[in-house]
Amino acid sequence: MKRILVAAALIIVGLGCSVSDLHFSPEGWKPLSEGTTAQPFKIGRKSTQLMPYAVRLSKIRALAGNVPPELFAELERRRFEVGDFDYSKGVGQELSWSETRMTVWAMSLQPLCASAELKTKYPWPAGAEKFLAAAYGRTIRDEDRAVIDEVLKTPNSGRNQKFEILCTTVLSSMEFLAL
Amino acid sequence: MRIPLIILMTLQLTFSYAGVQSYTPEAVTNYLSYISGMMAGRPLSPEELAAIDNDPQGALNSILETWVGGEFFNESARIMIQTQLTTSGGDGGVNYDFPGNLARYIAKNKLPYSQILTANYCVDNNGAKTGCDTGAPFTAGVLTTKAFMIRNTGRFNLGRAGRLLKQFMCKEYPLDTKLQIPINREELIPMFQVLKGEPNSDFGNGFACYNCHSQFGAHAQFFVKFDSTGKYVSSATGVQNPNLEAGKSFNGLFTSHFNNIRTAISETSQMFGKRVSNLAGAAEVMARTPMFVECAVKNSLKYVLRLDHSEVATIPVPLIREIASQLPGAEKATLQEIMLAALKNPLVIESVLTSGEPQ
Repeated sequence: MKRILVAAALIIVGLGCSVSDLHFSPEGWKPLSEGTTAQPFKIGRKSTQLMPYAVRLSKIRALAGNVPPELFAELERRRFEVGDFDYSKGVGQELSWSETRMTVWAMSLQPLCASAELKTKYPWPAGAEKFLAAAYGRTIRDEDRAVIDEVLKTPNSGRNQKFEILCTTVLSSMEFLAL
Repeated sequence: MRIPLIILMTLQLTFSYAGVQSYTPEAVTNYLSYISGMMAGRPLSPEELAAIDNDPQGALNSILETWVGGEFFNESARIMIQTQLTTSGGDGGVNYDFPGNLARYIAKNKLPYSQILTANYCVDNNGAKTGCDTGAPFTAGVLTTKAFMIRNTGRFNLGRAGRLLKQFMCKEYPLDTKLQIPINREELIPMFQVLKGEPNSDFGNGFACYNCHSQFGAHAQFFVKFDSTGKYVSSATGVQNPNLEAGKSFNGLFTSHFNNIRTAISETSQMFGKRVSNLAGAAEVMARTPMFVECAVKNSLKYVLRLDHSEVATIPVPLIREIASQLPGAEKATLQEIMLAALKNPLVIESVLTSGEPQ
């Protein structure tokens, strides 16, 4: 497991994909407010603010489909460590990402990423692009193919482990967790 | 005929973003991607992406309408109230999930969102209607839950009154005196009579006590019968316990702002110029004001777009009012209608699309 986590972390850091790199203003689209007095408000995109835990978990469930509930047990057991809240016990929501939180999150994904069910649904390597497209809810881009290439190049890892690395990388990425 | 400048500016503002916007598939995909997690609990599906490619404007509308009808939207309503009121879980026999459960129930059954303040029931963790837990002889949505009362407990009931106003009206003290008529100075206990420039007037937030407390006091009065555990105590007097710090009455209750004992003991008070018998009456008044639905629009945008406090403050007031004006009246609008009006608004869409770092 440790090798998978390290490999995933290296890919995330190496590709350096951050929220602020993601350009939202699409080409060929003219803002309505251009030349008028009505002005849009600003949403800060620099901070790595996660979506609420329940939203992240729901996204993972949607991606995984019909799999045994115990595959989410670790994510649920460690929910407060990855930002969920229980105000009655003084545990507030935490939406910032830290090294500790990231590590716990990645470790908690392992039962799901290592599961036969997910590997059958997204067989490596043929299902890699489908997995990415489903996780991000969009068509594949060059940077996604770069991620797959990095996983392919990971030394000392078989087919199963390569999928686990991809799964951990994608489900720990800011695009999946924060956008 | 000379048209007043203010009318010209209003017309320009209205028409400047009331025009038809032609969205590209990429624009719609980017926008819906940003909000799909919060609204639908998942990324965009291949079918949704195909629909966007085929007819971006049509897909924008139909996808949003599908999302607000989905189960996750109801769950999202629950999370929104839980995080905005900071109440969740259960501890010491108190169900802190009551407020969130009510929000989910209201969303699921497409009830007017105003029931968040006016519902005469609570909702248990199985989603069924049940009685609320303060023991009060009336009910007012999330307000008459121990969860709300305990989370905002404090001397003079200032926390409860302040949260009520901030969360559901998006306002803070001091209010416009035309909106909340100040209590006459001599009716208040001496510490709240202090005016600007008088001795001790530099204590607090700089407005001097009377400016805020002349209004705070009326709203805090609605909570005079609720003790620190949120239990309703009909025998509460609102009288200061001389052995405790200012703001604390007897038996875990809190002190009234009023110096007349008959006024201090009564939960009758004024909300926005209307005299009402108790907290439920105050909630009814609030739920019927335009401020309620404007605040609901603001809180919805804050939640779905994940705005922080400084970002929320930059949402133009005319935009909030324009969105609210499309809704069927303060006490009738459902959360679905509120969200759709807000998220379909071209300036809201533009705000999402033009935020972030340009490449």
